[in-house]
Amino acid sequence: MTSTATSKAPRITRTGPVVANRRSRTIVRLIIVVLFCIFALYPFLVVIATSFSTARSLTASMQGLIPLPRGFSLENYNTLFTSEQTPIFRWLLNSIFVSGISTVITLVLTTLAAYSFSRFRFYGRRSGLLATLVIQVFPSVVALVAIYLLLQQIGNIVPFFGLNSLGGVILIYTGGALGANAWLMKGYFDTIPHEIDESAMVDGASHWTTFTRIILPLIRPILAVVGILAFIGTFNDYLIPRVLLRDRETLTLAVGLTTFLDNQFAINWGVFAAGALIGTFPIIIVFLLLQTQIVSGLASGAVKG
Amino acid sequence: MRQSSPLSFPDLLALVFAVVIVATFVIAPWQGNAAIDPTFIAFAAGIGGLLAALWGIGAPDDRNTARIGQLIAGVVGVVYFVIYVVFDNPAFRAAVDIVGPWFLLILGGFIGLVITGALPRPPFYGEAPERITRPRAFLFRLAVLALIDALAIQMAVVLGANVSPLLGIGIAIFTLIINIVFLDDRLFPWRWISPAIAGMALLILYPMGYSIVISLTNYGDGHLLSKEQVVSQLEKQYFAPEGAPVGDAYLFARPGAEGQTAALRMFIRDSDGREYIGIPDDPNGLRDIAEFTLGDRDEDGIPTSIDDFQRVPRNQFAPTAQKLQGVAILDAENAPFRVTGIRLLQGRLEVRQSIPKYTYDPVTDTLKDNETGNVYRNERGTFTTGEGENRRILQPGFGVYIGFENYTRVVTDPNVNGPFWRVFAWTVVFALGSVLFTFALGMFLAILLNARDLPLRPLWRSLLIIPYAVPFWLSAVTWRGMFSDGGPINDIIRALTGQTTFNPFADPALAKIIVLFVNLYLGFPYMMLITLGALQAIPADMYEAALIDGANDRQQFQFITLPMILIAVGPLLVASFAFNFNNFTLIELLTSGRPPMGAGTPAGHTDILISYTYRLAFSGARGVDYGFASAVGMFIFLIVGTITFINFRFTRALEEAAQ
Repeated sequence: MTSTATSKAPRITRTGPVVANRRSRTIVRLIIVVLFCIFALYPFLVVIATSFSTARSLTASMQGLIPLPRGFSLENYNTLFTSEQTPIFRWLLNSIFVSGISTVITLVLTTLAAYSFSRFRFYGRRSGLLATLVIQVFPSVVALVAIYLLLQQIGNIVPFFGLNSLGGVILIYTGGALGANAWLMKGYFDTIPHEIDESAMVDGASHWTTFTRIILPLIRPILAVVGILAFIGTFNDYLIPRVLLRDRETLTLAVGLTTFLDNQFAINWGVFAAGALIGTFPIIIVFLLLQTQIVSGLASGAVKG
Repeated sequence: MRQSSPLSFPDLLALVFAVVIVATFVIAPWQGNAAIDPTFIAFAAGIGGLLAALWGIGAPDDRNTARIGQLIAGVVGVVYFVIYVVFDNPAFRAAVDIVGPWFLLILGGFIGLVITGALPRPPFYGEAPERITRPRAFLFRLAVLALIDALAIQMAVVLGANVSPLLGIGIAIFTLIINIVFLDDRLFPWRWISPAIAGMALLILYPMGYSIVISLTNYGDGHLLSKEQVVSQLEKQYFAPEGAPVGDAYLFARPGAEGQTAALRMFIRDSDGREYIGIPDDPNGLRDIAEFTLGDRDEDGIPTSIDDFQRVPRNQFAPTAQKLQGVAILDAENAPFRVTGIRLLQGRLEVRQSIPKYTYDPVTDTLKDNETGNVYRNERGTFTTGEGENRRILQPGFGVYIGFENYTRVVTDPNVNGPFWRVFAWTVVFALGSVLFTFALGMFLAILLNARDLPLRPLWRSLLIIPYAVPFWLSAVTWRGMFSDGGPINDIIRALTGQTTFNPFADPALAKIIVLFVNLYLGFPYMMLITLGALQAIPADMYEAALIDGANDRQQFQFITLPMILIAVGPLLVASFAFNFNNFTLIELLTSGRPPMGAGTPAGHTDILISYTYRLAFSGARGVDYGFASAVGMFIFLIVGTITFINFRFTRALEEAAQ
């Protein structure tokens, strides 16, 4: 009798001391959630604190366990920006360059392919779709040795794409473009009714015109989601740049920070923390601001139909 | 009714241009083969253009084929020229020098082909258009296609010659497919997916094939070159046999041209007093002095000039002499004199008759040392001689096929057997454990967050996503620091247990627990998010019905919530397993596989298969072994592939593909 009318309510409360029961439940839940939030944030706060303190080790840079910097100073940032060992802006630029171009290429390739899979019925469509699913099983990492040698040889002929070049890294990311993203996009394309296509064609538009003028604007949301996921994914990638890039100037952010500030365990925490923050803060902000899109992208993968 | 002429003017014009191109190639004064090589592509394009033009005339109702052929041939030729001009290829330059103005004719012909290929053809009586193809769009498509063809041919030839013929053939076949797809209207849908397939083919399929090939070899340290490279390298070693003549050589050059080695002369006087004139890089370079006019002799008996060649002055001796180091003065009958030393102060070179140290016999596949008489046999990629204690090998070695030995090593080699299976077991445990723990925690938090009466829900969700937003590597390195000396957790443990040092990364069990813990931290937000999505999709009526039936909280969870969530996120859980199976970043940055398993293998206790592969192939500390690393990679692929395939079987993926 006490059921709530909307479909969102997961529970029907029992009779009895309703209010007190519900409140104490909520409080318990809140406490647990807050505890986990602290857990989730803790390392991040430690990094922030370390970047502002002059101490070398993690504990020394905080007040006990509380992530507040001891000996507040901007010295680490200064070292970061001026030292030759840490061309952080160069790294950031490299990462953005690689991720940006990979994302654009991925979007183009995936959108074209997904449109074709969704709209046309052709011989080899089913196997093509299956192929995209199966191929993503073989991640680039497993063919690491082969890719390394392949790029080494290509690099002798076309240096732009060789080992130790950003072009090579972009090339590798492009190869993996047709994968889960195509799947996601195709599903989204399927939700756009075919009638739109047909009415456009009746008016004399070719397939290409329909695609660029009509369909593309309609799928902006999914383009945004896939673009963001692809960008973040390639921005944070570690393995491929680690294997393929050598020169300090060509490293991406992830590899640069972890390799050049690493001296066994005697990491220069302060500078590393400062560098990490500079490099990753933009991404984190972007992520948080666009989290609704990202979540919807992930969730649509979770809930089929 | 008047029929339009079957001979269209553009086709005739194309024929003229093509004939000009081909005729010029045949007539022009090519000198020697070297000049022809780089222009072979252009010549082939010319022939192609000629064929296309003839087709246009002979089969006038097949308009498009002729146009396509002419346009493509023309663009290939033009692009070819442009490439070589831009890259300033010396052989090409030499060819242009020799043939001179005829090149303009060839280039002009190609440009003409392009233009005539682009011209519209008059309609042929009775021709019915099959498909409305807008001419401008069609032309654009043709032009792009021709450009791609030109570049692809270039790449296929260059890469095929220098890297591997297979790659060249692969590119050629692939370009052919692209052409067919873009020209045959029946394959229209394939045009959209071809770029993506191209990327996939080059960067996933080709490495996959290449991986398989490598895994069947012993390519790695000590076996990095090919046999041809090794043999040619060894054959370049020389020695002077007993009693071979030695001598001194003095340099002469044309005044003003001292820098060019091609225009040098050497006055050679050997230990017996015989005198020769030597011309470097000439097949018959050892000449009698009578053939030349020698100038006056100085006090050492050395002439001041040979013909119009003057003695190279002191200040230019050093750089010129450096270029001649190792150069041979060849003689048709005798062993060549080689430059073996430079005496800068005295302004002379030392020469010595020498022969190659090694001779390779392809029939028996052995290498004979001409100096010592030893015979080196080819033993698994290294030239070896002698047995047991007297065994000696030659460096470098080369890669050979060893069949499935890399794979059987996993079972037979004691150094590899134990570590490999332990790494494999841990990989499975790690992946399973990660999925389990992250899912449990994620689901727990999702249920908590799903309660409508929880205040500030978006805030908590944003905060809890932070571990997912922060890059993997940053979190991994941070946690590593926290657990190591000088980190807060380390301090706590030390305070609690009273030990002075606490290095969890040195203990296999503790290190593994830490790895699982950090992965829990990194993975629970994702699980939380997808579970939230799944939770919100569960219709409320199910809960209502359950309550009416008298179910309590636990039963509701067990029979409604959990199954519904599992159905929705099941495939994602399996995908997460596959992802963690290959989670290189975490392991490498957190522990680098430490603690190490022992001296016989580069593996560590926390290594998973993929980081083990990385260490095998790239860490270099114990020598790289690409062959074995590729084999392990194949193994990983098999496992992950099977799992994913089974996953697809049990989900609706296959049916959805059919829609």
